[in-house]
Amino acid sequence: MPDLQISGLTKAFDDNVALDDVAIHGKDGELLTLLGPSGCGKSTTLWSIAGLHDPDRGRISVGDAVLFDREQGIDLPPEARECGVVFQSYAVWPNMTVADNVGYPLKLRRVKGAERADRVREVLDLVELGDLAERYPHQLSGGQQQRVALGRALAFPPRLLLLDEPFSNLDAKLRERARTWLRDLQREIGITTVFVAHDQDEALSMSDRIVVMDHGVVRQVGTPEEIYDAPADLFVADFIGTINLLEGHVLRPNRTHVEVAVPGISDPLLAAPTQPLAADAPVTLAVRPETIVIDPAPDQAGLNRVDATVVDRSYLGDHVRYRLQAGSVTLTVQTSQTIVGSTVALGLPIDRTLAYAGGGDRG
Amino acid sequence: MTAATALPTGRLKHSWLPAWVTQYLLWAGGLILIVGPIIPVVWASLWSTPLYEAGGSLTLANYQDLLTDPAWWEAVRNSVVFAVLTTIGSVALGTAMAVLFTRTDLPARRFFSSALLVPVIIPGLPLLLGWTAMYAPAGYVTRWIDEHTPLPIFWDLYSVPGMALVSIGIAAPVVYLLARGALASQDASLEMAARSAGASPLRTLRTVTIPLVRPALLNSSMIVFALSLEVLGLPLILGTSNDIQFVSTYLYDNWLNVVPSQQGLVSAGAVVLLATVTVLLLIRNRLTGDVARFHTVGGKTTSAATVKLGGARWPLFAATAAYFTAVIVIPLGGLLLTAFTTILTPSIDPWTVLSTTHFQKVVDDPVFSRSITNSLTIAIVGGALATVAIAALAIVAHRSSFRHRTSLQYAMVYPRAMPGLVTGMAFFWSFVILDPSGAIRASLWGIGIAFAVRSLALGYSAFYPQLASLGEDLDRAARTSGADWWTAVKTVLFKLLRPAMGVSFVLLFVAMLSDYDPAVFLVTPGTEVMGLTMLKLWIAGSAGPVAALGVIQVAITLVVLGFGRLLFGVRPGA
Repeated sequence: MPDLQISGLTKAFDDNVALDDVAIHGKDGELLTLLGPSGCGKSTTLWSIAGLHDPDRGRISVGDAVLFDREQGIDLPPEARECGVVFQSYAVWPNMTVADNVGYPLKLRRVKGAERADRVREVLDLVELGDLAERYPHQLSGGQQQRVALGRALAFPPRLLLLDEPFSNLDAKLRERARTWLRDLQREIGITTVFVAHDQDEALSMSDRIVVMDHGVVRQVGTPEEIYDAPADLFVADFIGTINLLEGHVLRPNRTHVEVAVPGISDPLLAAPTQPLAADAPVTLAVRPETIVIDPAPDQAGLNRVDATVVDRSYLGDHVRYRLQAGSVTLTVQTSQTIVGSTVALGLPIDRTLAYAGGGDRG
Repeated sequence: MTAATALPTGRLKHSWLPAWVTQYLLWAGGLILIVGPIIPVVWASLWSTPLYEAGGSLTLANYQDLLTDPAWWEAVRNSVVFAVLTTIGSVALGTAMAVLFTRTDLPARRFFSSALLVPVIIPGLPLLLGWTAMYAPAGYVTRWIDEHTPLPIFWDLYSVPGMALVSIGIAAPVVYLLARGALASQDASLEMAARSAGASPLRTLRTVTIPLVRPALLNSSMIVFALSLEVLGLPLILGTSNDIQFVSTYLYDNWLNVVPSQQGLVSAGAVVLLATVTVLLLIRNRLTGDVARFHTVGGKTTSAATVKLGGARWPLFAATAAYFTAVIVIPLGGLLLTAFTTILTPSIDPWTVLSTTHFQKVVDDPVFSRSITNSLTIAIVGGALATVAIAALAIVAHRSSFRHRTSLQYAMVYPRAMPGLVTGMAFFWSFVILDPSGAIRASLWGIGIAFAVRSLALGYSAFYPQLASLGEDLDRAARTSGADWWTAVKTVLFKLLRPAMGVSFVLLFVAMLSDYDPAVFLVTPGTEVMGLTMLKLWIAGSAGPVAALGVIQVAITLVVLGFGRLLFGVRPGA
């Protein structure tokens, strides 16, 4: 399987920039997720790869095959791009049986008779629909329809598999199972896959790598761990998971950590800088709720110590989420421990407290 | 891949023509048929001699003659008064019906809500004949009241207000349909909110319900007004005896009955009429937005927020029943009696003169019987071809990346703005120019094409909502599977749209079976159609056989609509 190379992809609708010089490199056989809030350009990117949208500029290629290159005047129509697409609505044709849906791409390529029937059976077995070949879509559940759509996308081996939020129409329980199943299948056939998600759990659990997008710009590309633990900027930090953001300014910059004064908290806090920071520069500190230590041992090193009072407590089964007041700052803490009493000592790990340049504006 | 067998290989099939060529051909064909014929009318109106004669020069004399003719201005005055009366009357009546049937506890409202749609469902001309047979000065009911009761006859169908009365009876159901649609789609919680805020049911109706359907009322007023301006059959049948001219009959007479025929003048009049109606509909689009055009009729009638009529319940029921009887039952009875009796007059008991001689005459007379076979041929063949054309054009207009697709979206609804007379004249001049031999006009193709173009907007407005409700992902999925545009259209869209095409065909069949305005200028011996034959022979005084023909037309319509409802769930719409 070849690599997917996207460079300089730009698209504007009137004055609205949907894609701004997007560059993405999808490695052979990996599952790459495009993640971001609605309107961030993830779907436009996917449709541009499939040939269903018309970018203004840029280049898209898969291996040696150039699908789109504005400068060279190459713009293959969707039917010539050989991308298997699974639509959010599944788009399974209601007038055809499951086997006919899956056999359609083969029919278009003049794969005939026994060869076609064999391939259809093989693909249906792959997506675990072997028994339902003669059913019509309205006789299938949502999950089954989705697998028909996937089977159809894979029937004539595509260069790329493109998935547009395929799980958004499934209920929560089914969604989890479908994720695992799809992930296993993708690994098994080893096809390079681009996946559009707006659900971050989905993105984190399935992807080899995630591309976080916002306003048509790629904010960060990385493994799920990199994206979660070391967000490239405040937007990514805030968009993925829950995070405490504390605004302040730099007291003393340092090579390994900076000392930051946060209004409302009496002692300065130490934090790991994500970029060089000058004295007096406004910064925002970001701390994940589950990294904060409750009642740390007095000798535990590497912590900023803060006293706080409990404002509110939400019980969530396997963990508890507390809203705490430290000085005039509100912190969210997630733990499996129970806090006894109304005041508590907190420890903010210095190397998990990330300092980003700039104030609260996360544009 | 870990697949067990060898992976399939194969080369992609391609359509015979590239997508853009197919799209350009369909687009050009559509525009030539829809908009193209207007050019020859405009040309004819600006030319000093008829286009089939040699010579002639560019002139404004036709317009000058038209605008200085007192008869024209008299006709305009009559048409406008008639259209205003019809609009006011039908909007008031149609709205009242919609409110009564959807928002109150009127007895038998379910029955009335569909029974009062009869004038929308059956062809207009036979119903009009029924009205005339019963309520004209020499009609059965008029004379019976005159002879047997002391009641005064307050109506005169042979006057402009009298004609408006008939027209209201036909137009009110159209308004009712649109208003009912708007009421049905209205969120009932809006009214409940008003009620819980302390408003009485009537006050809610007055301050919330009716103001919210105002756009629908405005929309239907404009439609009714525009349609009333161009109506031909009504003034021909009712206006002739008192020599009341409308715009349409003025054009009709100057073309057919004045010697020498004033074809330049009539063309100028047609251009003026077309411009007026176009402007009216443009204003309407501006006011109500394009959505209204595609309003689907027949939403569920909510029983929520019912206004209790109390003491007025039975008197209103009586009034509705009386209206239903007077406007629908009696005229239909009149049509049937005229068709099935040798003579219809209050002085002779109709049951003693029952006969089928009029039907015998229809069968025996070549003009009558040919009208039936011609109309059926046009409705079946023309309806089928127009349905396929509508499907293909609608798909280019809405499901392609074709550069000029928007122009097609407008073009397809434009025939609705074209008065039937203008359509007929447009094709008359087109055939004169393109086919001097007259072969097309001598065949049924001439009238058939004109009828088909005229019905295009109707079929499209039934077809488009179905197309829009098919997610675009369905054709995108075909494209990404390897189908080029035309293959995707053929293998996916056309197949999925079969029921929509069925609905569209049934509506086109019914419309083309009863259409007649465009045939006025196109008819040749041998290409008579039912509507025009009825009109001409009724004026000539041959009531019985014409009524029999009308009964046949109504019967075919009802049978086809019945099948359509059974097969495709067709509902009649405005």
